[in-house]
Amino acid sequence: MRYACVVGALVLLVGGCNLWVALHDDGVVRGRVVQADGRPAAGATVSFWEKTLTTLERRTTTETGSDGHFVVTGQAAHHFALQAEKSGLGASPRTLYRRYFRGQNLVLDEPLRLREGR
Amino acid sequence: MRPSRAAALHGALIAISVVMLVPFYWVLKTSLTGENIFQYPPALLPRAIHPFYYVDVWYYIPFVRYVANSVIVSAIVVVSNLVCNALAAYALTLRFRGKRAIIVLLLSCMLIPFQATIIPAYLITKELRLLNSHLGLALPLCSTIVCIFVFKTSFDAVPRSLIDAARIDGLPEWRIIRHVMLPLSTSAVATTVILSFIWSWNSFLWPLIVIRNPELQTLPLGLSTFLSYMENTTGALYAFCIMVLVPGIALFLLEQRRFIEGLTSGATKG
Repeated sequence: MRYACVVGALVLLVGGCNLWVALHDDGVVRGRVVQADGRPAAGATVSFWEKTLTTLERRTTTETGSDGHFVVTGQAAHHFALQAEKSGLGASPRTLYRRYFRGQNLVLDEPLRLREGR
Repeated sequence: MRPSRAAALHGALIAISVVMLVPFYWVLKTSLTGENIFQYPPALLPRAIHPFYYVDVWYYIPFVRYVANSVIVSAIVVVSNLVCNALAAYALTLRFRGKRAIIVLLLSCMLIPFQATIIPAYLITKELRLLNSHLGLALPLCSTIVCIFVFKTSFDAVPRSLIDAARIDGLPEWRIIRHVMLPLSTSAVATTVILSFIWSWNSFLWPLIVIRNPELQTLPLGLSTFLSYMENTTGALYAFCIMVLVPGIALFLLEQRRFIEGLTSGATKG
C-alpha cells in the first residue's frame, strides 16, 4: 500500500509537472528597455546570451518597439543573460536570468536600463 | 524506566541524531542557496532559497542517462543478490561434510578488502568480455557474503519440520526456497534489497575501472566528471549529491522496519 501511494504520488507529480512544462515552454522572453531617466528606449538592440558551463555565447538579437518593449522568441536556454544597447544612449549591464525549465515563457519584472559610458 | 531517565535518554539520542544529520542538512542547505561552505561565520539557516542549482544539474549534464545506467546496474545487482544469496544460504542451512570449512572460508573472505582483489576481478571481467557493459559493472556485487549470512540467519529460524513437510509433499528444493523459505524471510529479503541497492548505487571505484564509454557512466562517475569540469559549482555540486542520495534514502525509509528486523534477527536469536 505504501509503495502504491508513493509511486502514485510520484506519477501524479511528474505528470502534472510535465503537463505544466508542455504548456509553457515556447521559449518566449518579454521585457522592456528604458533610458537612464526611465523613458522607454525605442529601437534599442537587445542581445540574448546563453550561459554554458564555461562561458556566455550570444544566440540572437532583437529590437525594442516604440514603447521600449521587446520579445525574444525561440530561445530555450535555462540560464541566460540579456543586454540592451543603443548608440547615443549607452548600454545596460549584462544581466543573468534563470528559468525553472528550458523554454519557459518569461516576463522580466525589471526593465533593462541603458546607461551612458557602458 | 523512570520518566526523568527516559527524558535524559531521549535528549541524548536526539542530540546524537542532530550531530549525525548536520552534514546532510548542510548539503541540502548549500544545494538550495549556493552559499560558500567556507564562509565564516557560517549561516545556520538558509537564505534566499531557490531550486536553480537542481535545474543546472538536470540540463548541464546527462543526468537522466546516469540515472538510467545506475538503475539498470542496481536492478541486476538486487535480483542476482536475491537469487544467488538465497541459494547459497539455503545450502548452508543443510547438513553436509565441509560445511564449517565453507563458512570459515566465506567469513575470512570478508576480511579481504575489495581493493585487494580488484585486479583479478578486472581480469576475470575482461576474459568474460564484460568490460564496458552493465553486466560487467554489476558482476562483483552480484553476490555478497554479508547478505548470504543475513539469509542464512533467517533460514535457520524456519522450523525444520516445515521443510520436512514440504519435502514429503514432493516439493523440489528450489520450490522450497521460493515458496517456503523466502515468504518466511521478508526481513532478510528487505535487508538484501536495501544493502545491495545502496552498495551498487554508490559504487565508484569499480565503474571507474571497467567503464571507458561515457554512455555507460553511472551516477557516482557522473558526479566525479561534473566535479572535474566545473569550477565554482558549490550549489550545483551539492544539488547533484542530493539527487544521487534521494533514491537510496527513499528506499531505506520505505523498508526501514524490515531492514532493521533483518539485521537484528541474528543478534537477538536465542
